[in-house]
Amino acid sequence: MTPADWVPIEWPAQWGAGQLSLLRDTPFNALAFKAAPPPALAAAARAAGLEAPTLAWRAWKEVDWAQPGGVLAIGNGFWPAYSWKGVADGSAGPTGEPWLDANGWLYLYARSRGGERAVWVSSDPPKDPRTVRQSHLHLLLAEAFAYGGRRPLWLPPEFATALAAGQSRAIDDWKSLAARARWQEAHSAWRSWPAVAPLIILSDFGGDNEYVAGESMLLAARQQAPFWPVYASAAAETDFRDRRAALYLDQAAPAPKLSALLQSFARKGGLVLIGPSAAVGFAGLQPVNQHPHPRFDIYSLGTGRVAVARAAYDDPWTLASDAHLLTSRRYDPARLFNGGLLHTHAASSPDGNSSLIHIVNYGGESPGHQVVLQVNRPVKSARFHAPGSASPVAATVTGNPARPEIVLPDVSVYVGVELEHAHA
Amino acid sequence: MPDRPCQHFGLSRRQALAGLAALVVPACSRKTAAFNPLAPSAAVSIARCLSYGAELTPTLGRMFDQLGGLGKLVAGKTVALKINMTGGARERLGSVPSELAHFTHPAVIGATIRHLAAAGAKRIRVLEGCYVSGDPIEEFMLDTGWDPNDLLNAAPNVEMENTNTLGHGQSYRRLMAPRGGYIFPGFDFNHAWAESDVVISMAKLKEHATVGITLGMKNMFGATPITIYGDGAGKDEPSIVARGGRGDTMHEGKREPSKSAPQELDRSTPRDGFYRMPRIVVDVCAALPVHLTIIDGISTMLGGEGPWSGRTMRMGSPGVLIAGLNPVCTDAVGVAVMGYDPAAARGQQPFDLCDSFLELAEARGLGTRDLRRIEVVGTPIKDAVYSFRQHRPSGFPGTA
Repeated sequence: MTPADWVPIEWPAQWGAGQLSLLRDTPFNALAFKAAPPPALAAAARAAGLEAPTLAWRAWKEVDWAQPGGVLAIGNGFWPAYSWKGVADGSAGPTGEPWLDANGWLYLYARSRGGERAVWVSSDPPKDPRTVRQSHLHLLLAEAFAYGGRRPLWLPPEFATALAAGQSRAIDDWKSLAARARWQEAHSAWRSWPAVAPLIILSDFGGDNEYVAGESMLLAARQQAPFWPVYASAAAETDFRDRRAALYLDQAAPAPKLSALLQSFARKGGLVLIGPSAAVGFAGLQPVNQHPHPRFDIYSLGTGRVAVARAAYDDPWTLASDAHLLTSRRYDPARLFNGGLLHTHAASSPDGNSSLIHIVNYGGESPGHQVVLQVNRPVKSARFHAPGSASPVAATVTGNPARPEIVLPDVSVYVGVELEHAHA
Repeated sequence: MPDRPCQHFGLSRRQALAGLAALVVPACSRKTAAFNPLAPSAAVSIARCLSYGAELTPTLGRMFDQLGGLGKLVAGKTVALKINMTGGARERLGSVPSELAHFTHPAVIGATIRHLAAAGAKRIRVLEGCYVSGDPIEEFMLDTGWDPNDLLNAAPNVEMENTNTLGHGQSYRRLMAPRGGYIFPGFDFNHAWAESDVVISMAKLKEHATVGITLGMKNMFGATPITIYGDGAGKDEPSIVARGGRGDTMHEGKREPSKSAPQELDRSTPRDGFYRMPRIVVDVCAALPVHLTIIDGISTMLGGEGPWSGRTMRMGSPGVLIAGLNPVCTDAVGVAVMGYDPAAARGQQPFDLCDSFLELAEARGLGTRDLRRIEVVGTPIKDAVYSFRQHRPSGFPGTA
């Protein structure tokens, strides 16, 4: 068993070796601890065929990406939930909408930086664990699955105690969680499918660039702008095919190799967004005769465009919005009508013949309206995948063939929509 | 043939305003209809049209011909089309695409653009104040599932602008309502409205939670920029970023628009949307005269102006298009086609809870709602009636 196969559970403090039997017939096979695992418990776990790795939990900004290891363990993720704090008094944010605290961006970032290493994200639980419902625990697992990582399953103390005591309701809830995890592991190959993202976000993600880079990823995700983060020094290895735009975030000019790469990308039809001090090496820019953008000067370069910010980036929300709109929603792989608290993440099969739209419900309950998925590629057939359904269910595709639509079933936590594309 | 003292054909916006100023009579509350005999009248065309397919373009062409032809109105002119895309781009009534329920259908917009170009329009602007957003209107359309290129490529010199913000202009442009208006004496608008020679309101045939119905006149309310009139507008100056709806400033009167803009005439008036909104609709239409109204009633929703209306809502198929040169007359005919009496006062359908903006507009001299004085061409009203209340399973709250 390799770290890529480990399915973690955050071992409850009140559990001992006697509770290892609860993992029998479940996919959970790795005990996760915030500190070093207790030696006796670790030994008992290994004797039971389980793993109890020593993990180096780090805040995402402090991860040593070059450090070898099987698991990238990021300990300062979000507890995934919508935050209504500040909505009433208008301090919720630029839109006045509730904030979504979600980790999709963090999984993508860690996957991009971490290469083949397994990505685990954890966070502090809510201050009052009694507010945690079963749907929250399912969401922990589903969110991680949708974005290609794993979340050590955290159990509220009262639930863990009830489970250890063998209370029937707790056992039923546990079986339900195990069933979800089992279903996810049966579809684990999807974790490595590349994200469908028209926008690349390039940075060194550190030093003076850390704040803008981190916030831009977080806020782009909150705006449901699909992107793929790329460490600037590794950009040469990045596949720019099927990308529409590249947002270079760093204040310093890109290294000559990356600068050449970005200019080549623009010449071939892409859009490069870049800060004023970083654009100095770009040659051959021609002003575009169009209505002025409030924050960028737009130039043509070959068949593409270069958008040079007039001032240093200082507002990540606006920057994320500008990047999304200048790229254009036309290239968003998926959108939801009446989606409410549902979010999408699109991934493509390695051969490009199929794609998968992961749909995660952060609301904790079924949407009150009929939800429709629209995608931006012709579709030959579609199928719904969800835990609890023994086999995928054929979906009806309607609407404009160029922008086909699918009415979703009830999405209490997660559904995956597998699309076979017509022009594959 | 009824008299048509102000058809607007061949008149500029300023000429039309000057004419209106002479026709104002005091507004008063009435239980029985009392019409303003001085309010102008203009012909309204009705046509049966059952789909957004091949029949749409020729049908609209016949209607424009019945109104005297578009050439006299738009040849050599810059034309602004105020379309209706109320609410969020991704909000739907069930799974029904928004254009079939509560947005002006893009096929109607596209067909109108082609007719305008054929009639010699020099420049065609597709305008809307997209819901709580300053995003480009093209991006808003993409987010609702439309392709804006279908409209941008429908004719030469078509452009789009979200008029919720300063947009492409250098400054906001002030347009004043003759005689000061009911609530506001005038408004500061995005430049595109003031820099257009002809304004066309392209509305949906719908009911409305606050003002009873939303047709050509209410559609124009969305022209007010939310950087000034939105809940997140700047206190002293317009905000840079568009944020929030118009509930606090306009519907409820809880706050004032940015101080840089014309302020309310009397803040002691009721802070009640059923009182304020009908009057603000009239004020907007007085400040920003509409030269042609086109109402898309082919497919629509019943029970409110959008999926959020919170009433018993369903889809309807009136199968009708309505167009006219005077917004009050056109809306009056539209109300009649919906199965209501355009002479109804507050407390009577469809103005169950609110004042009638048709009555208020007529009192201000914007146009008559007296069907006896409105020439209807094409399909007679009686053959086009689609009773919204009869097609809905239940009535509005507050009604029997």
